[in-house]
Amino acid sequence: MAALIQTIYSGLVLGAIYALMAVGLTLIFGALRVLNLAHGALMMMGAYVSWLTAEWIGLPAFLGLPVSFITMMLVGFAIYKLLIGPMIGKPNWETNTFIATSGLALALESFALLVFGPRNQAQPFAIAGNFQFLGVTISYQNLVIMAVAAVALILMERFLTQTRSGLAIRATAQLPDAAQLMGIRQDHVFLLVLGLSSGLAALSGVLLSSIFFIAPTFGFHPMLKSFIICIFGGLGNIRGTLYAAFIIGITEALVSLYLGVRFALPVMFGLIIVVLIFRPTGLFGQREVVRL
Amino acid sequence: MNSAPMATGLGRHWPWIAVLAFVAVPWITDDRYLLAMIILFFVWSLVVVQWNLVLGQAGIFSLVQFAIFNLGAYFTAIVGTHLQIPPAISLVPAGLFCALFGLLVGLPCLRLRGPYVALLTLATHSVVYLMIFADTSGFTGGGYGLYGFGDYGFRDMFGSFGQLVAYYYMALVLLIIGCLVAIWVMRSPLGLAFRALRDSEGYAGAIGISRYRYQLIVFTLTSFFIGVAGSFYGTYLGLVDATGFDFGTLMLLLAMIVVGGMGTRWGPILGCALLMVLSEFMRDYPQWRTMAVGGTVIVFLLLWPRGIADALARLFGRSTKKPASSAEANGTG
Repeated sequence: MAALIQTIYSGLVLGAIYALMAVGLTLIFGALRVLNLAHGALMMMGAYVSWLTAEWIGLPAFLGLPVSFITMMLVGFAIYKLLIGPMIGKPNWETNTFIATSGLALALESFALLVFGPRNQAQPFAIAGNFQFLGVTISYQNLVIMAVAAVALILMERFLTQTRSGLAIRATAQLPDAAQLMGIRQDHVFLLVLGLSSGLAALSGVLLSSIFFIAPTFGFHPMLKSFIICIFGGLGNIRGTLYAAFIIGITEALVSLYLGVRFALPVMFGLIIVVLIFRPTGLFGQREVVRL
Repeated sequence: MNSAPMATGLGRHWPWIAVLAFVAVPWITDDRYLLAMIILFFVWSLVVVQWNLVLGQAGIFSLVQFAIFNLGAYFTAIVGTHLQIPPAISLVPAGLFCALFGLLVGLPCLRLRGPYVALLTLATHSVVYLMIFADTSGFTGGGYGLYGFGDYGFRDMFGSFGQLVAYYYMALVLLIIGCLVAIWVMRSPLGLAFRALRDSEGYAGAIGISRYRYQLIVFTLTSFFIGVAGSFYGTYLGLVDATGFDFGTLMLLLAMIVVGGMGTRWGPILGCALLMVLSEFMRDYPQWRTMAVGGTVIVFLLLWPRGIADALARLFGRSTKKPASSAEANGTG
């Protein structure tokens, strides 16, 4: 029984990190209709930025998180201005942005490999120690992760529902043309979304690396999982994505406990294939009306 | 490589001139490295020509084709290792196995649209990889791979260098068959059906064209040829292992198609040649290679979003057919 509770608890921690990652991905897809394959690489960069602030610049480790968020947000702006922005609306742009972002991901990963080397690094943004509660071992770092994720997600929710910029993002995601007619500058919205999404990727990168490690390619599998979560929750649907993140996190923990870690991904993929056969737009996705 | 600029002078015969040039290469040079590179070029060209039918003609944004390629190699390696069936006999069955696999993947995937197809097929790719990599029973060789499962016996027939030449011609023949099939598909009722679906899905549906059925046919057919290509490649290397599923190679092949021109007849082969030559230039700087290729792909996509085949055709003033746009064909909006 204790093992089960422990597993569900670690599933919740994973779910919190996945939620941060997947919300960033789904935000981009919702507003821009772009699948950003560089998300995992941005995560990795975010983790390294946090590592750099503590190890190279020598700032206190807790500053790694905000510094990484802001740096990656700027990187996100640059990616929109230089890469995705010029492609949107051009012929084949849906495929081309997919290829271009994956090209960017590969380039960033090999850049990291060149600069930081293949060795795994420990994330300095971490607190050691743990305590026992109801027979479950809870580490302080996991509490930090949950707190950061909760605060970030709540702030995100407030931003999207209460500020003008947030409303502009949601309006653009719902009906791009109508939003533009209402005087919303699509270009600004897209820029903002890319920045926010990259910032969220950085946060999740720092948090995830604090319980594992930092390596040039460590973002790839979490990104795949985030894609699964996005499909599960319905691409572009933020609330659905949140639920899906926790469902997938707990499923992953349970499968790892009862079947073994190596079956975690295959079982998840199998699950998503079954879900998609019966609900082609995800568990929480709305049925898209096809107009002829 | 040598074919595109000839397009104006020699009209529509340049594909055959290119074939003749490639037939002549082993007589001109005995550079093993060059021949090996061209064999690789043939294999990748065959894969991207078939994959292009799926992406550009049928408008399915599928990423599972690279896993199918590897499955073709694994089929040959597994029956060679465990049943002692030589690769020459398992070449066509490997294609059939892959066609069946393609059909099984296509049945659920093709019911979906646009980005969901891309993500689900990428997920399928990862499942196949993980199932093979994590296998510890020795059936797939797991992380060690399989080798010593036999070959076509070219070494006994033609000697050490003749073996390479034999592989070279076999790859060329496979590529020519693959291209002819691709052209046939584009001109056949299948191709016409996809053009109709692209131009107006409503009208096409009203006269009884089922997108699902036609997409499934193309998906299965191309899986066969991609599987054959994989089986050949595995036998040629003599080694099949899980690193074949490398995500970077998958994206490189996809980039060949898109940079060359998705949905165009010769674009993917041009893209394949371009990226392979570029990659060769960077051979002495391996640590910069991925960055250079990634950067080049991005620049090409920014400059020529329809691909270089389209850009060349415009440069030489030939009327260009409207390439299949997956965005329009999928209707994801």
